[in-house]
Amino acid sequence: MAEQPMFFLFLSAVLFGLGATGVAVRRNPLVMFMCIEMMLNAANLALLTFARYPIAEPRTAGGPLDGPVFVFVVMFVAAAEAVVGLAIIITIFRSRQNVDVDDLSAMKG
Amino acid sequence: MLTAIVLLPIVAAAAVGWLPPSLARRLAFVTALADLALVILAWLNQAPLESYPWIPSLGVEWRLALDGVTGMLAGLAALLVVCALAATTERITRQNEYAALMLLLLGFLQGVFLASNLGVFYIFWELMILPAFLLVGRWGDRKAAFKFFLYTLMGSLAMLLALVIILFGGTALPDLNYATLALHPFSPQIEQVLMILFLLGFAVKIPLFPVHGWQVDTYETSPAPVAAVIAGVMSKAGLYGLLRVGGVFFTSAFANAIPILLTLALVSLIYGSFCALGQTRTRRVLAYSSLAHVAMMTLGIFSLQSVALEGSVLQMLAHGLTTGGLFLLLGYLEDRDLPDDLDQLGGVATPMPVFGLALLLFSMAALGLPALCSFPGELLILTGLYHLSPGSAILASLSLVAAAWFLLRFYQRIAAGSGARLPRLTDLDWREQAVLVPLAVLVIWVGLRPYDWQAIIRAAMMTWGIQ
Amino acid sequence: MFWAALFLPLMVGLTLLFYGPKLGRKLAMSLACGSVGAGFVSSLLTFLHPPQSPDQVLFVWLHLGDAVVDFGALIDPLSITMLLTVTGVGFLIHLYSTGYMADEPEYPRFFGYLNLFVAAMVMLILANNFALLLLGWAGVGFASCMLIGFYQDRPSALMAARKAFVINTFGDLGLMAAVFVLANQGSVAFRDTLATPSDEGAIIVVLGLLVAAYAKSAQFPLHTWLPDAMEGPTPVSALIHAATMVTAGVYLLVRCQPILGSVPEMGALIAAMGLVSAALAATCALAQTDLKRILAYSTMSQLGYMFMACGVGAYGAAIFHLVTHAFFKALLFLSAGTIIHALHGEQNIFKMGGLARVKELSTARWSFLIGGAALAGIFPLAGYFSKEEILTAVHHDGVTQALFYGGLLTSAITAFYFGRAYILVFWGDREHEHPHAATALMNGACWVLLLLTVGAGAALGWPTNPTLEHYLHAVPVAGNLGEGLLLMCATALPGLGLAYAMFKTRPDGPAKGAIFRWAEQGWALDDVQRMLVIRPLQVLGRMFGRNIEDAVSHSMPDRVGSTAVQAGSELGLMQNGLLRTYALVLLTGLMGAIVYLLWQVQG
Repeated sequence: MAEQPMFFLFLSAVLFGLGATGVAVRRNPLVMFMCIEMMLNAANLALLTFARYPIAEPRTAGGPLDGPVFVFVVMFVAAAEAVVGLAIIITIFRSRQNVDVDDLSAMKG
Repeated sequence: MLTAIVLLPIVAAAAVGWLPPSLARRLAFVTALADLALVILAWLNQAPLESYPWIPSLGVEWRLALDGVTGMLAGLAALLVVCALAATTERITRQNEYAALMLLLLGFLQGVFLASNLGVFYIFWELMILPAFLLVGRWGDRKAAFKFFLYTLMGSLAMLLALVIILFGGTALPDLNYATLALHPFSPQIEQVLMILFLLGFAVKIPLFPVHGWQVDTYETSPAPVAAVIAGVMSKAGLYGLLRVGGVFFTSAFANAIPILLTLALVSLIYGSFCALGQTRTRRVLAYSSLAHVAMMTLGIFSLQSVALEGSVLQMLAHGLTTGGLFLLLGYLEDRDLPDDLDQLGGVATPMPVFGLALLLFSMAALGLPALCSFPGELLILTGLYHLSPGSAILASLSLVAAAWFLLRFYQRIAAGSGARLPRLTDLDWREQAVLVPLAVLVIWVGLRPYDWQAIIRAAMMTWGIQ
Repeated sequence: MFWAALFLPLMVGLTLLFYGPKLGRKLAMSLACGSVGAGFVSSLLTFLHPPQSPDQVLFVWLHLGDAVVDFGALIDPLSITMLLTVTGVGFLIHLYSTGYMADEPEYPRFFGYLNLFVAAMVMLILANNFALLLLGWAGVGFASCMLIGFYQDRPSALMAARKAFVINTFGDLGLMAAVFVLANQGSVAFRDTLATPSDEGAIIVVLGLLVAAYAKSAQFPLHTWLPDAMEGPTPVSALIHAATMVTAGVYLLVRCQPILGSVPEMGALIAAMGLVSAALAATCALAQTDLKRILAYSTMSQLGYMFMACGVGAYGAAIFHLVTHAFFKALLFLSAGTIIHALHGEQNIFKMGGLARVKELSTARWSFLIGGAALAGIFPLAGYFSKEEILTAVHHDGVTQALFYGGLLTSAITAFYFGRAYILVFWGDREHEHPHAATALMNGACWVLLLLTVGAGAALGWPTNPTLEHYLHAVPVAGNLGEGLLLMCATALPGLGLAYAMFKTRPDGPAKGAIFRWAEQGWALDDVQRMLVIRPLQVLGRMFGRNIEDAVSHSMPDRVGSTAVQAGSELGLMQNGLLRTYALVLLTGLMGAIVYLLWQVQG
């Protein structure tokens, strides 16, 4: 099944595209947040794929666990990010009763 | 000892900033006085050069030296800050911050004057802008302060570029010590570029036409003691830099460009003189007359004649004394709520005879009356210049006639006249007089016995390699 | 010894300026007079016991390159003569001033500057080199300026002071130019530069010296400050603008005669310019209505004679006339001062008249008469001998006789305007109420000067025995008493006679003609100067100070600043604050980067 990694990579790309589109078009920060998670996980999928199916001659030094380690790092970062992000969103909601990101344009030039 | 001269005010400034205002000013005054005493002691004991490693990778060494010229300028800086702090009244708010900034300015100025390493010189040169900017901005005018900051920053950036070229431009210098720089001549092309960059940096600070735009606003809006220090000492830092860095290390590039440089300084001189002729505000007359005077000193430096160089240094001292004194005197008028318009003033000397005499002394000294401090310097500068270019010397000396006109007018419009329209005035009290005494004594001393000072200058310049 | 003549007045002058009001009137005035008197005594002692070496150095003042400038004095007959004249006349005028300024509340300031003036003048005379000479040279200009502007509540006085100072500063530049040239040749000391004058640059030195001398001695075309300087108190006019400071130019030329001699072609120019000044001033004096301005123009005219003498090389005669002129012109000014004082400040001669009948003014009347007669050149008064000597020297010079005849004509005009002034002031039957009596000291000073005016000429310069010229080691002018008397009959007497004929009826006002008005305005040279020099400078000053400065220091930098701010705010509009826009831009950028990288890898 030489074609197999292509399916995973394709799925990863689709997930990433969906996530990116979501971030770009949605106005609810929670949904945007979920989309970001989706993009991160798309990346994770790609990382695992390359770990499972290594390219013929690895150009750089590294072991077979490089990919999974990266994935764990990403998951930790995503968890930390969720903590901070959700806290921000809740604070904004408390102060404004509304979390539409289009209304949060204080940084407008 | 030399390190103490530089660090004492800086360290004290940190303490002064936290003290209650009235105490702060007193402590600052005592610190500046101690700094002055240190300079004098160091000079009397011929304090040896001090050198500690600092940033070896960039060739920067904490290296301080005090000779006749740098000692004189450091002494002038300390003296003027002492006088400025003593002349500061309760009209200045937040005196603890004010006094701390003054001390910082003093410390950085001492760093500029005493540095014997181009890196140290540059660091203090940059640092100097900060307290000056804050002093002008907080107690003067914000716009003037920004203008000052932007102009001087532009000059500093040019200098930074020059430093980068020296460090990384293919010249293999072990360090940036003055002694090393004097031993390693640059290639002509690099030297020319460096000269232009440094010239820009110094020209802003001196200032020379056409980069003098910050000067008038700064002198006009900042509190009188601040203006006295900036006009009296900070412009000397520019001239000193031009002489020390430009005149010693880039001599051949300077020598090649003498016609252009002389023209530049002459234009500045004539421009300043003409502008001063038409002014009606007290501070502006002084600002433009300063512009003309520093142009005269620049002329002396550009001529690269040893006579004229000696004259320029002597004139730096003289100009520091007269400008400092005149700005402090104007400050006294402002303390008495008098207008700054020459057309509305007049007759101040009748109720305030001591003030009148002091104003006369300092304005006559400024216009170059013989037997007072500016005359020997001007004579030296012009004699040296005459040797190089008789025409420029004659042209430059004509500016003395203009100075006679506008400074005498300045004096008469303030002190002479009937003065019927003025409110009741009280003459200078003992504190205000005491501030002026050291300046006045030096004004007369330098004028009557200039050789005492010329000998010191000459000896120092010999060690720099100027014959 | 002679240093006392410099330092005593200097110290006392500074003391009076700073502590004068605390000293009290008596003490202040005695100090002022005493110091100048002591200066005179020390000059006298120096005259009797001149030092062994003429060069007396106190300390090194400055190094002008290789030229060492000593703070030193040159004591020779010329400087001793000048010293005696200046301190002597100065002392008398100080005495006179104690009476004249008795009612002036600001007397410490007056005496302080008067003493500073004497000190500066002594410095000028003593200096043994050009740079130190410059010190005194500019010092007298400064003191003179402060004294002209003494009456501070008069704007015209302040203006006159400023004018005098600026023109004098311009003159100082001439001397400075000489210093530049000489210093670059290696020495500015008189002993070197005068002993062996160098031809190189001599023309610049001479021109510089002439500019300096013309400005200080109020010679055409730098004379316009002198008539205005009469705004000062009358003793000041007597001391500074008649007897001492204005003669410094003559002293300078006499001192520098070797340098002048190295450019012989300048002699004729100097002599001709001297005649121009003498004649110009005499014609102006004809038309003045202000007593002091008559004397001012007459001073300028007499100085013109001295310059003529210098031009033809009769330096001894120039100094002789300088000395006698100091006596009789000081006398004239002091008596004029007494009259003005008596009439409570009235200076217009047409409002005087009838003063011969005022008993209090008899000393002033005799002083004015004798002083004026000496001015007109009447035998045997001092002015006769010195003026005849100058005219004889010009006659013998033989370059051109036009100078000689011009001198004669001017001499006649001099006699005429003196006659006019005397008749208008003293004759007639006008009554004056409560004339202000002169004090004994004022009259005493006048008497001493009167005696000098009568006797000094014959004593110092009898044609067959010119004592002064022998003393100065100058080449004496071979004069002849008979010829001189003949000249007097040909010039002074007709002048006086014409004055008598025209003014014996004593008209009530000045003549009305246009030429007359023109002459009264000093031939409108003041206006010419204003149009050609002052106005253009003012216009340029305004142009530089307002327009150009505004462009260079304000609008141009401001434009740079505002452009940056503008650009910033326009670029800032790209930050629209919408998160999704940022995300989109970010993704687009990322996409672009990936595409670019892939394309690179492929290529």
